[in-house]
Amino acid sequence: MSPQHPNPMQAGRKRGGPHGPHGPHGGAPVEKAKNAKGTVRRLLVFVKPELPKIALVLVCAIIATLFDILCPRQLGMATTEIFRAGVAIANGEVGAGVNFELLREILFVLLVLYLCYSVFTYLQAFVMARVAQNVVYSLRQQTEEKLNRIPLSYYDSHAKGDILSRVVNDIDLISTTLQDGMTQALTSVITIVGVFVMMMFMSPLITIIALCTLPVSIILTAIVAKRSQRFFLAQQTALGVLDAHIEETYGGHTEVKAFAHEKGAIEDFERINDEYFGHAWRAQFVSGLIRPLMIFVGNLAYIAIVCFGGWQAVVGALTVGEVQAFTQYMRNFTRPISQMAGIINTFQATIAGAERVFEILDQPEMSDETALPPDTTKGAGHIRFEHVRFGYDPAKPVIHDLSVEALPGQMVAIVGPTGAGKTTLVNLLMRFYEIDGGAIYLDGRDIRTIKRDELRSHMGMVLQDTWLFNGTIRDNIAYGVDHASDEDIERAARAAHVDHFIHTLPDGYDTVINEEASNLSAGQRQLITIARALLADPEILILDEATSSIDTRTERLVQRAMTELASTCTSFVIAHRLSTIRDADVILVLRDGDIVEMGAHEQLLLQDGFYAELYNSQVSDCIDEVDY
Amino acid sequence: MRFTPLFVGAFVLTAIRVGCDLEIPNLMSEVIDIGVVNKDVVYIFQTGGVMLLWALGCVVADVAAGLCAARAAMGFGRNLRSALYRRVTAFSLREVGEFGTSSLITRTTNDIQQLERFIHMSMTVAMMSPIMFVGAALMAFQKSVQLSLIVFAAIPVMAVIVAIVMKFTVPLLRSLQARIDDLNRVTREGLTGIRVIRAYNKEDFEERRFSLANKILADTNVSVARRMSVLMPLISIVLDLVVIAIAWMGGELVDLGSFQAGDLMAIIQYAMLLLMSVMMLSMIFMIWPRAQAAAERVTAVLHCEPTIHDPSSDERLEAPVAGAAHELRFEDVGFAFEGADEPTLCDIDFTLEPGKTYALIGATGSGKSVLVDLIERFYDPTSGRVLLDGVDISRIPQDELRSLISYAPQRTTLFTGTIADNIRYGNVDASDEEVIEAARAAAAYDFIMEKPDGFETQVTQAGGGLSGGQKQRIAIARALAKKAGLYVFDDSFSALDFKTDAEVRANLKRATQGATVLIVAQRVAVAMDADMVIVLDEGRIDSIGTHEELLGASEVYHEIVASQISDEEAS
Repeated sequence: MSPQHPNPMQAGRKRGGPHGPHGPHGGAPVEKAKNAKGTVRRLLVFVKPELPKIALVLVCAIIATLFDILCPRQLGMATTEIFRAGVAIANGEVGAGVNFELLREILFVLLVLYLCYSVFTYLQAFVMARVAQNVVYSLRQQTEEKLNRIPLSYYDSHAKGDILSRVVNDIDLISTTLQDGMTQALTSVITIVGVFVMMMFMSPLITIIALCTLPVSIILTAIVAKRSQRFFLAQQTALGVLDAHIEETYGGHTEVKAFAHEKGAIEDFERINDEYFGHAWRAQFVSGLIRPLMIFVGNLAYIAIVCFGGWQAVVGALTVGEVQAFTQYMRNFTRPISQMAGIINTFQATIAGAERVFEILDQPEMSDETALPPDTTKGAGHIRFEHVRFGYDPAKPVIHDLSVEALPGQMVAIVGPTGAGKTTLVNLLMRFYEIDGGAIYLDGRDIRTIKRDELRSHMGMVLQDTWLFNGTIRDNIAYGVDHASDEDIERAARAAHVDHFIHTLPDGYDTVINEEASNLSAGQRQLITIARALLADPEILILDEATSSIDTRTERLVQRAMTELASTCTSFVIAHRLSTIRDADVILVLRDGDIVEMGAHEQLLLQDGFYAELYNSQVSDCIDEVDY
Repeated sequence: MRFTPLFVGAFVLTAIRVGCDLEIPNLMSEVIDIGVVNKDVVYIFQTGGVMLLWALGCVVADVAAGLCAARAAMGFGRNLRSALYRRVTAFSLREVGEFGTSSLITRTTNDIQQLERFIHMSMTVAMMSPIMFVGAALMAFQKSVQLSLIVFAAIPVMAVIVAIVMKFTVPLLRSLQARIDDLNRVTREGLTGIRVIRAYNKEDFEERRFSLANKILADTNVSVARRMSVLMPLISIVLDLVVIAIAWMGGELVDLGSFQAGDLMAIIQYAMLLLMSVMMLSMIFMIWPRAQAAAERVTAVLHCEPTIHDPSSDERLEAPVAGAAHELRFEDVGFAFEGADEPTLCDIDFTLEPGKTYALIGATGSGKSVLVDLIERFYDPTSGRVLLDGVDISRIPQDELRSLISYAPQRTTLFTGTIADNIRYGNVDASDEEVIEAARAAAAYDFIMEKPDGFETQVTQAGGGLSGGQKQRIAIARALAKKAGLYVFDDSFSALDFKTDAEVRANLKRATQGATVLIVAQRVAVAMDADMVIVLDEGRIDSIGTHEELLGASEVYHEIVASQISDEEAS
């Protein structure tokens, strides 16, 4: 969904000229809000601290609009005086001439009105800029803080791009609407009422004649908007197909080439591209129709006013200046009305966006732990799982009844086919997810009675999906330790066998890792995250496929470093490569959430069960051949 | 699609539209100065009828101009997109690597859309601006030379104001984009790294990082909004002063009897139109920075020449005959990335004999993948030659070369379509039996049949619903379904568990029977299955031989084997 933003260049005040109002933008389909009232009410909570400033903005907007409404009439008075003098001169009346005394007075008042209008308009925009950004800032900040309090299950079950879009785009939309939309809506209402009063005051007859064009413009707008909505939808769909095709053929560049599919890909692309073109120009054209049509209706009103106004002036019911003022008023009157559809669209899109943001803010949070006693003593690192039961969906348990113990300093390996629940164990141990039944103990304490941050401060973790942020290598290694010394960082890097590589980079440890970390290979990234874990020096080390991107030789070297660390800490190792975990004290063989075998490597081989089968599929046919 | 007629058409139509538009105030002044002054109601309404015709002319021309603009803008986008797509498709891995895949996608999608929008806006708004400017100036001039002088005096003032505001705003608009990118990046990092962040208790740190980016973005936004909002009031004031001056001087002229009130009203309207056309042009400046950046990014791709070309007809040699097993020879091949101090590959010299299976093994970063890329001609060697059946592969067209080789890449991409479509990707004519056979050989048949729609299951580009191992098996099936004399598997078994890996390898011999096979692998088991093993170490060939030979002869190979098989078992 992509709500059409209102033109950021808010159409300024336009006076005179046969220029119709610029109609509402396009008419791209807009997502409807589910509970508009409630959402607006919640948004107001964020706006509340800004209320004094908003009051100031409103006062400025009202004053500016009132001055704006008075201007055409004032200018009309000058015209009337000049016209009177002109006619008098033409008729050769004695002493005929412009009353410059009066004209000066009229124009001076006009100057004051104009200046006030400009000053208050600027004031209003100046203050509103800060108001809008303050609201957006605090809304973003709250969302970010909230994101830190909601459980991991939310992240695992929602697309990252979707959350990102809520935090960035949806909140941005709110800011645009606050900046322009709110005052625009307000001034529109005041203008419509004020101008209507002024027109009625001058001539009810002309007002009614001029207003006859109003239904025409509303009907035209509705017709065009409805049609363009359809075209936009078709364009959007075609665009989706086009983007998907580009993404997939660019992403599969090597495949397209290797299978000599370039011609086919280009043919497909041209077809999709043409289709998109067909929809896009129609959508663009049809939505663009609103502007000329509105100008036409505006011109109709203009002509009606000039003709009927002229007639009234002949009769003497209206002055020439009032006819002139009328043409300006009509424009000021129809502009906000024809913009209404666009404003409503924007508001709807904004409220829908706000709803998506509030959806995040409404997520259940992790349990509050401020009541738990703090305890930062370094323990031995003794872990015990007792009858643990867990399912991502409680109805479908992944772990049924798991009991296992890791003594301080032991290395526990977890192996098993994909989906057996290996990573789930890590999720539970780190309390990324909470268990459904049973208990996990750290040094004899139920981990649910330890604060999450304290629990995690005892653990170090390296994942298969390496995560580095856009900062220097030094900062990335020191991520887990505040104020780490350079020596410590380099020692950790050496232990992870990445020190040499870092030194070959142009800026060494101060090399900034770019956004996609494309200046590092997958293996190098993994080594850096291992260095990070080593530096943190935890009591419990968790390695989830931590060496899968590293070749076996380097892995051996890294393992040696880890073994050193592991001798002082308890470690959990998940690995595909069984060769890497042969030295483990305990190997847990998981299958469908249950431990099917448990024991040391030799022991398990002797059992000749599932583990032996897994292991032999890798090495069986070489054991005999390897001969040193 | 021809653009010149569209542009000319839009220009002419816009001129007509502006002309019609400008005639209306002129007629209005006649209504006042003739109709009202002479109290001639019939004349007033007659003139009204004429105005109506002009208004109709205006709307018709405007709609037609809009049609031209829509077709021109979108047609331009279509052609540009097509040119870009063709260019990217012709790129070798080197150019793709230079730009980055995601950047190329953005350039082909968002950036071109940005340009479409810019052109559309230029043709509807910017094109009208100068026409309106000249037209309104002429009309004002015709009404009164003296009064139009006031208007002309205001133009430079206006231009200076616009220029100054732009000067202070445009750079800020650019940096605003950078700040948005920053916030995006920090947020994205916070989302992708959520496990690590929580594991290291870095929530506060991330919050501070986010808060900083958030604050800077908000402040930049405030500055932009404040600077932009100076423009309208300032322009307004200039306009207002012009109106007041015209009214005053107009009064004097009328007083002298040389001017009429209706003309005065018309000239005020022309003044407003004239100054508004300046404003319209300034709108283009607002969207200019983004469009310019987009144009730069797009042209950078268009100007980037692919480094790998098909041979010219003089250089071109007869391609090897398809069907039979190929012989592949590397002749003193070296390869270095541009700007790299060290070559990635050096003195690579070996021959793959027809019909034999080879394993290519070596540490991460030893150059295995690049070597494979040279066979597919994704890169060209910096020195030396690659020969297929004795023919230099740079002297046969790329598509012919690649049709002789079947390849399964390291990273699997599936394409939107059914599983069967994906397996047929390299061999569109494969029969159902062949597809099934390939799937069986790749150990993919069972999991495919477990899906409700079997081979007709729809897959998406991201391979949603399929695990990494399953995607890889489909990629293997895809390579096997394409019959070729040389099969290349670039670490294509890495996501398979050992059982499946062993099964696939066992099937491979049958499925590729007779062909030459090169398997890049990490696992020693692959090497033990192969007829010959090529060991690569830091970009050089360490040794070539059978598993048994190498165990004794190659220190590197020995270490690799030892790292995968425990010491006690090996000894």
